[in-house]
Amino acid sequence: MPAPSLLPQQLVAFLEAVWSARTEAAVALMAVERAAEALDAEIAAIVCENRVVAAVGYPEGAVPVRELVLIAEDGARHELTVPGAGVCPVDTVMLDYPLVGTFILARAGPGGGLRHDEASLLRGMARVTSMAMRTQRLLDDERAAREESDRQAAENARLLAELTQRQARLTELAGEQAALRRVATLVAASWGQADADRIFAAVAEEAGRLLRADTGAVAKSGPPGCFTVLAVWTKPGMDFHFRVGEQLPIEESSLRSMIGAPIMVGGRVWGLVTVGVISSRSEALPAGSEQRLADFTGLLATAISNAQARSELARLAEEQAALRRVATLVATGTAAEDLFEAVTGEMRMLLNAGVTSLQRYEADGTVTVLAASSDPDTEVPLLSHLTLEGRSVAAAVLSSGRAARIDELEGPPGSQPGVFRGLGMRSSAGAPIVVEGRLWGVIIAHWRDSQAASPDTEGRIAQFTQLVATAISNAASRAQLAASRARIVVTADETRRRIERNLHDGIQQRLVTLALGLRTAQDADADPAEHAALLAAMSQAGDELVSILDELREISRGVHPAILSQGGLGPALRSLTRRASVPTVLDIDEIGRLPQPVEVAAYYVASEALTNAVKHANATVVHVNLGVTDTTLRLSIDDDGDGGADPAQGSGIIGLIDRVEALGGQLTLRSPPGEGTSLVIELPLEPSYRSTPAQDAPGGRDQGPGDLLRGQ
Amino acid sequence: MLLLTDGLASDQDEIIRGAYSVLGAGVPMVGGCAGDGLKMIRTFQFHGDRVQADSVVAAGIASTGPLGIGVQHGWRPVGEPMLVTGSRPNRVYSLDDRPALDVFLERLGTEPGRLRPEDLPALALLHPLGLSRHRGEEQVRFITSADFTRRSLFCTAQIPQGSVVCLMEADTSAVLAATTVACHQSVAALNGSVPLGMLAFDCVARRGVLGQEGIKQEIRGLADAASGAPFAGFYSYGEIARTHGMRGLHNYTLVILSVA
Repeated sequence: MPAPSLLPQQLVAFLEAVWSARTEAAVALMAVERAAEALDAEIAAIVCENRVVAAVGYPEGAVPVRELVLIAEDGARHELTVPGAGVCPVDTVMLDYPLVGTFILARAGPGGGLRHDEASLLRGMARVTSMAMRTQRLLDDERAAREESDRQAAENARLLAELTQRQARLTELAGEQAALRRVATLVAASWGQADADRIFAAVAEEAGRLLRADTGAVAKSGPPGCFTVLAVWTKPGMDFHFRVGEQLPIEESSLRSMIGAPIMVGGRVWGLVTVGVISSRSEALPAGSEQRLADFTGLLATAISNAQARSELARLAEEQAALRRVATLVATGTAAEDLFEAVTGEMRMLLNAGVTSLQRYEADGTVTVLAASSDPDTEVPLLSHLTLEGRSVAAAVLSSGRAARIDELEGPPGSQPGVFRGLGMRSSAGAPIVVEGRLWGVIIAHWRDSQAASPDTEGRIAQFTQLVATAISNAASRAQLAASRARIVVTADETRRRIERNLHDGIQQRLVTLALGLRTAQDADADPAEHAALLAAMSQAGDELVSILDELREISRGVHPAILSQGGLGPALRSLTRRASVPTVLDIDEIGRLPQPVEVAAYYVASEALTNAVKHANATVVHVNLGVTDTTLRLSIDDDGDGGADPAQGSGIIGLIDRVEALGGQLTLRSPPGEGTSLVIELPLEPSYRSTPAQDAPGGRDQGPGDLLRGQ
Repeated sequence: MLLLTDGLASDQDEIIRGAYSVLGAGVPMVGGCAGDGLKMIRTFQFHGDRVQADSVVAAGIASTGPLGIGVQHGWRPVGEPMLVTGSRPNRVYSLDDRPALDVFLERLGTEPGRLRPEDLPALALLHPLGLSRHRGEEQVRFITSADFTRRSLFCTAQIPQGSVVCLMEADTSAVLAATTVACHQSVAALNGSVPLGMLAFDCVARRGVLGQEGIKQEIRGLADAASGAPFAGFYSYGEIARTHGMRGLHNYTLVILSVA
């Protein structure tokens, strides 16, 4: 076999193997392996500058980099110690690529270095390796560049998609914000029913447009099983059959897809926003619409609740101001007519009512309108008695004693509800005026619309009725005080007149007669026969004088007993009971002197009660008990008489009540017919109560009872 | 390093290369490619308590005592050497720029047109190719079959393009002599120590050459060399023995590992 043909064949085999490698590093590894194999060498390596690109023949990870680098640098060295093979001759070939690269081959054995043809083969292999590595490097670079380019293109595409998505979301957000702002502006601007309709309409449209739906609606739930449409928006050009005010069964829907979200304000469902697409449209609402609608209604609820809070705050401030004005009127004791007029006026403004009125319940089951506030065109009949037939707040409050509302007034002409219905009012709400535990009257607000009262209306009216009740109660107290004072004056006058009459009709006449009798005796002759007659006349005059003294004592006893002012209550009572013409048992604590008004009042009560027991009750025995604590005097007079005593029947009991109450005390009368009479008084002993009514009189304003305060 | 591979794996040389790149020149390799009694369907390798196929089992042997490796086949080249001018792993397309099958048959004195394809394996079994090496004797390459259309030969081991090959022949006595030489090589490498045991990786093709009687003689030869120490082995589809250079795959060869 001619030697020259061997080399190309081996080179071709080497080239094929090396060219099959896919990376520069793989080329280098393949080259050292195939060269070592072809040349039967122990070691083959490619070294470049100070690193080993590839090596075979050393255990993995134990390539002697430094030794190989030294061999590559120092062309003079020709030996390499190989583990397991001893010292081996070395052949090196410079590489075109990588620059400063060296192909190293070491073969053990007696033959030493490579033969001439083998060295030639090694040089050829080195050339091929350089070419393959360079090519692979170019390919590697190109591949890396392509990968980088692909990666960048992908990254760009991703960034672009993200930007687009972000842009779209921003546009969406801007749309949402603008929609919310429009709705919030509407909400903040106003709060009437007409405005509410406009807000609902705006919400329906904004939600529908925002979600690119065919229709949007605001509805409230109810009646049961249905929802009522409050506002509808329909995409222009769409024919859609929902109408405002329509009541639809909840399951009814001709929509292809429909979503809804509640508007929660202050923890309650304020309303419902729904959007839908009609069945003829091919695509349903996009995924995520529920969340967007929920977000929208959530923000909407916030806007509404903010606006509501503002308006609520304003309303509260207004209400407090009104209450303060009324309370001031009450505190300064303003005349009832003026107070009532002020209350109804304030309330009508606050509650946005058509008519507000203050009505009093009468004993005959009717009501009287005492005051009313209305617009100038509406005239409310005042002071006429109205019946309570039909459905009215006045009747409801009367029967329940509590606040009430009527959404639809009805009643015959002349009835309370009939009259207000006649004034154009449809619904009303009111709260009772309760004076000292008794239902006195009612304040009612009326509206032209049905169901116009907001949920807390009754509570708000009640704040006013309490003030009115306080005012009435104050005025009544003042009236009672005045009446009592008047009665005391009257009683004093009567007593004076009685004494005068008694003196004039009785004692005066008798004294005149006695004087005439004595003058006749003076003019008589000194006839001894007539001496006896004179003596008799003198004796008669003496008797007459005794009798007159008795009568005088009797009269004065009703005025002020001397023993009371001299000895105090205890001796006075003992004297009183001793002289009583019915057996009387007195049980009395050891008491010292008490304040004079208390002693006088207690004495007169005992005296009057004893007189009544004898004169009117035909009692056979009377028990009088008197006890005193540090703070209170308690006196009771019990008899076993006929009973049935009635203060209204003109007995002296009214006068006693006046006396007792003037001292801040209390009088209790128990007198069932046939069971005797028991009268108990308790009088406070504190100094503040020891003043007399006259000293207690107020200096200035003294309102008369007036017709308006007359109660049942 | 003891390697036991699947004898039906297509490229045993790649296994040796991989092992060499990890172990380096300092670690000798011995072993064999598992066979399945010429059924050529499936071979098995044991690893721990598991049986595997298409796998390589490797066992590192570390010992303070010497290890002796003997490698011998007993085949001799006949005729002029030939240049491999076209080859792929396990396949030889052309020898001396002519179709490999034609050259092969011509060397054997057989008319190319008259040999039936099914008769080729029997013929090739006795006439492998010898791969020239820089040092030592040729490595024998087993021709398993041929492609009669493309006129190429199939081998179990690589015959690189550019290598020089010879047609090989052998007789029973030469093959048995190789056994003796391999045993002596192996034991001699122990530097005078008495072997404690021997492992033999014997080519399945040698069995065909030796026949029943020859095998018995071979085993007796092994027993003599072992001097009473235990010995064991198997008939393989390729033998592994690498002591120098990178090439370590053999055919038609007896590889003996003696341990002391």
